[in-house]
Amino acid sequence: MTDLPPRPDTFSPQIEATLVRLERLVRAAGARHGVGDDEAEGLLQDVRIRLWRAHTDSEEIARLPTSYVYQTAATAALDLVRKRRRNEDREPSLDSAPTLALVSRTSADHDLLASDLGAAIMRELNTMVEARRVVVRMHLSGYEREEIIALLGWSDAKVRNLLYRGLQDLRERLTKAGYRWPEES
Amino acid sequence: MSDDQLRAIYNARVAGDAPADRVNCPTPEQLQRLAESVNGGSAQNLTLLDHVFGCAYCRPEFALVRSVQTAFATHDGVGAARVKANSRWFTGPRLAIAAALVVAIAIGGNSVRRANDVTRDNILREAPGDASDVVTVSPLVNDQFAADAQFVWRKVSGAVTYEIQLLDTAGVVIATHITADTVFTPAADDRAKLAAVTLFDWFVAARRSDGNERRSSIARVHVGTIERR
Repeated sequence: MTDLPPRPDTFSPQIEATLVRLERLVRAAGARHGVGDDEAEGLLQDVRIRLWRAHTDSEEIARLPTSYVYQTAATAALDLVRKRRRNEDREPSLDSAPTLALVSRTSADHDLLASDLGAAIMRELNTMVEARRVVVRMHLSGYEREEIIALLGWSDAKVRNLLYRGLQDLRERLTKAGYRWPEES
Repeated sequence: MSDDQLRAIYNARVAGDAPADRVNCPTPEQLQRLAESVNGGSAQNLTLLDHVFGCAYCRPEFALVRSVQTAFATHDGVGAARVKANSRWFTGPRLAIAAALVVAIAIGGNSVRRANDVTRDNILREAPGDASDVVTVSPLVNDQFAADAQFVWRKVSGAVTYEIQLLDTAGVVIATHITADTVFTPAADDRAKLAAVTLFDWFVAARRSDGNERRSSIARVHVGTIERR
């Protein structure tokens, strides 16, 4: 069965450590951003299979540079995204509906789901300048400030100020418009 | 309204507003380029990111491709690959500009490094949007900031240093200063910068010895007529 991924010890310790890190990050992304466990697992398996297919000699695999493994993983991730979209086109299923993946399971969220507070947040976000809006959106999406800095390539001070100012503006505008979290009213 | 509450409502809304089709969504290739970008904050990228973080379909896709990039980002091999991919950038004139920048960075390096060291420690420790324990005394929101004015805040128990930041209304830092005191008197050059604007924001962050940080709310202040002379 050449399709089986190789045993971990056929990769160099360096690559194996990178794959373990990749698995941890993909699963963490899954938990926070709605990537299914099966997709995360599928991606990792796909990376191993691609490497195994392209390099049948285990010594050769052990010598692979990490940059090559990165390109393989990046291509596998891209293919996974394309596959998701093809599946959406064919049969949008409840399993892949974003609502189930993104909505918190707490009862408070369900209570508020029907409220128009969410719509008010979106309205207020749309009045912000784009840079501030993007930083606030990322924060509300669960991204840490360090991640935002790394992604945008901006200084800590710039991101911090956009974020603090944006959140403060958002809260002030919502309060001014008469919106309250149920426990506060 | 806490950050968690805002997040819960926002995410529920994003899920509820999921588009019926993907015609306005970035392509998978665009998502990957965005995830790999070393300059994600460019104007073009911002528009894409604005969509991604407001789209229930694009967000997990972006998270997936980004997690691959992040997993390898700290690795030498990928660092080398990225340098190689970007090597076309290093043309003669650009290298000359880069050399000039290196000199400039070296000159300003100490102060920048000090500022980065201070903030870097806190990135990992501080919860974004941390609740305010720091109370500002003067100037307050909508106050006129006069020529001889000082910035004053209340002492925070356990704080070893305070960092005061003055920002313009777009959030760009005008001046920043670290002190152990609860009063800050702007130097002449800071006053000159403030005199160039009609409004500015300020806040102060208190840092404890364990690295925890608390910050005040941001106060928007008018620059007094004396300052604008």
